[in-house]
Amino acid sequence: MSVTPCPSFQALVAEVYGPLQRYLRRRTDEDTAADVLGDVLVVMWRRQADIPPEASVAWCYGVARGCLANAQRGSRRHLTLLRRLAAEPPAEPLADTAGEDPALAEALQSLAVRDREVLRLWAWEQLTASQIAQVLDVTPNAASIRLHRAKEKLKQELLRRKDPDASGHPVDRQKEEWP
Amino acid sequence: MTNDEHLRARLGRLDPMPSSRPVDPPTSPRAQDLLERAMLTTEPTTPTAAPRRRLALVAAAAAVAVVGAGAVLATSGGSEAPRRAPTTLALKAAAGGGLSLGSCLPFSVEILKQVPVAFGGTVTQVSDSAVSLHVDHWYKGGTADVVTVTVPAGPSTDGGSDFATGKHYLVTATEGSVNGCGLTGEASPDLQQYFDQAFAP
Repeated sequence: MSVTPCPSFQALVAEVYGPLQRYLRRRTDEDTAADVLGDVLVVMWRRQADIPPEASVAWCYGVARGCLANAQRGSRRHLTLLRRLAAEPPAEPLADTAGEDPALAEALQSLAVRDREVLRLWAWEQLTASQIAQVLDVTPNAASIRLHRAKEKLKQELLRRKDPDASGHPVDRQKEEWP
Repeated sequence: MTNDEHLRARLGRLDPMPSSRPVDPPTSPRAQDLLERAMLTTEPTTPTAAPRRRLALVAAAAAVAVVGAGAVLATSGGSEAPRRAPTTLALKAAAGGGLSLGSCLPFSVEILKQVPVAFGGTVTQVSDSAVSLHVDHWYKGGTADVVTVTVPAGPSTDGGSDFATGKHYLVTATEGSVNGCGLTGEASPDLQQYFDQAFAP
């Protein structure tokens, strides 16, 4: 007899296990991501009765967000650092994607953390405003406004950088040659 | 495409973890291990949402001192990844978790083989509310140095703890519940032999 969670819980884990890894690796190093993933599963298991069926994936992202914040301000970070200093080889760094679109990377980086995060949740995790609301624990209306403003700020930053496509269109390198 | 969709796609190209980059699949041993650990280190807050499955087995090894039947893993830290510091696994006896002899299947090594958590340990402390065991050998499912079993306050149930300080026990647990039904007990040559057989590498 082995530990057997109910099928709906198993299905949820199967659904979010990959996305949660991406979420965490987008925001932290490999070691911390691995630790936090375990924490998230513990919370999911313990609080499975609280998981809203209609927003289960976003709920899990919200848990991951909280667990990651805990890990980053907790003593574990210190231990991780000590461990690294001790000898363990450093985690493989993620490929730097800024080269793909330097103007956009720079514009994104110039935004406040809050705006940047809402844009990442939208573009990287591919969440809707109401899902973002669930992750950030705000009302759908607030999330919608926050997302809208973040997009506008990003476009403004692109304009400031004279990005030929401040509206979000891919940069045409040839046009850059012709100011 | 709207401007928004273009912006989203453009931002997507900055994603350091695009879907083209592989991650550990949910069917991997690592995923199963993480999940099992999660389930062993805590219990769902609403039992009705996730009914605990106890091994409904008793009887055969009735001679073996049976530990509180419905003990439940309660806190985290015990069987965590080796890199973590905590080495205590806490178990909490479930209220009313009694041993019903009628609900046990005959003991067998085959059943023992299937439990996810098994260790041998010596009781270092017994109080009204808790028992501490120093683990001297993990057969399966954990790495903690110390396991504590908390017994519910109030009138004792028929699944009450049978641990005595200084004695050596062989303990198994499934999905948070310490197993009775002969699958946990004071170490006897017979039980030791069953454990050795069941968990032989």
